[in-house]
Amino acid sequence: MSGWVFRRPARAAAAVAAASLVASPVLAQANAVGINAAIRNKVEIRGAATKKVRPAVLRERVILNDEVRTGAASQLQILLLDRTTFTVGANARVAVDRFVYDPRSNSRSTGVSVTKGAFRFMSGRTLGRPSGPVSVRTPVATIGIRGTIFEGVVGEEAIRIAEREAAVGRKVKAKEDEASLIVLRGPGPRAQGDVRPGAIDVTVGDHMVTLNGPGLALYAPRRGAPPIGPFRISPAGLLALQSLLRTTAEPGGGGKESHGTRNALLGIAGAAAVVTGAAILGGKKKRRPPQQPTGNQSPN
Amino acid sequence: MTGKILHVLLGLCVAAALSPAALAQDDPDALVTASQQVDSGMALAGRQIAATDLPGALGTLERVLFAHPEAVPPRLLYVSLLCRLDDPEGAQVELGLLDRKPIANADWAGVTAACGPVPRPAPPKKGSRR
Repeated sequence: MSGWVFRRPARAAAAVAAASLVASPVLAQANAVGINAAIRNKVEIRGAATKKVRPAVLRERVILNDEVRTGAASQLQILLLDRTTFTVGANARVAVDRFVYDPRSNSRSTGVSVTKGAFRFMSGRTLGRPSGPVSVRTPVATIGIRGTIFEGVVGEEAIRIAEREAAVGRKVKAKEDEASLIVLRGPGPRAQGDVRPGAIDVTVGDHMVTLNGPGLALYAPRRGAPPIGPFRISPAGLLALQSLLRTTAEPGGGGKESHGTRNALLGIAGAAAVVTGAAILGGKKKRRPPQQPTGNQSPN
Repeated sequence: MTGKILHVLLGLCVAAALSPAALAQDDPDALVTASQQVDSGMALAGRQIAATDLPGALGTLERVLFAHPEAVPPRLLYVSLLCRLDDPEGAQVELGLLDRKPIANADWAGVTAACGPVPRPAPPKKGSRR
């Protein structure tokens, strides 16, 4: 992977273009890293080069460093060249700021920056197999990805969801433009098919926490504060997070939560949603070596 | 739509890998186009499942549901995939969205095959058009 990580724009453009040509001739556009694969309601793109804001268009190429801006009850699914799916929820600000993909060697390096809103990340086709560093950054956390599916939310919604979790509570001091809630969704250890269990390493300041089981969550309330977790997110918390990424027609992402089956299921699951220690949950929490950088590279 | 999930899982899985359409699985424009309609999106998801690309199939169904949020078979297949990826809590949340929606028995069989004996969403109210 040496020499592929984008630090110089010209090299970045050349590398992405080369990968694009190999991966798909139709994506052979300078700095194109993917495609707008699905759009709901109001989604805008702020061009990194032009600084102009335009409506997102289906099948339009996603350009490195372009900023995605979503409105209320709006979502965008980005399909990256390596078939990674990145879904942006309502009221979000997201940019792909590092992308390298060589399909011949299956090497890849991806960096996504989320400054606000909810998101879902699903690794591409080589889920669970070795590849380059893939990371998602929020204002306070860097998430190193090891072939997995996870979700997160940054900002006010993160605080709203987290403070209802028993592991967090309402007394935790958080900043509205920094708070980050991260939840691993899978694949779990009992996943079927040619899929390995996924995991993410979340770095917050000088702490690194590994989430390695579906439903495990970590909350980083503000810069300088230690992360809280891992803890198992409650069914209600998961539902609230899902509502920000939801594919239903309900305006606002699911204001109606009174369905009988759902409540019954969540009630059953809620009884088991007891906050336990990291050892029981299978999560690991350890101090990060002080010399390790806090940049956007994945720890793996 | 009746039996769509089983059709996808049983009918398409075998043939899809050898189909020319499998080549389209590498073309992002083709992936997006196929996801615009329920039937073609389900077929694409079936091919991806046959190729053991379960996350890819999840992404496809997510696109289908963006375009057709009320469609029941793709959401049931989505639920099945979440179970196969060992995310039962996520599957439960999605199942909750199907209360009062018409679910074909064959489609439900696909869910229970993947998820085990989970509670079936409430049936549509009598006289409901849905």
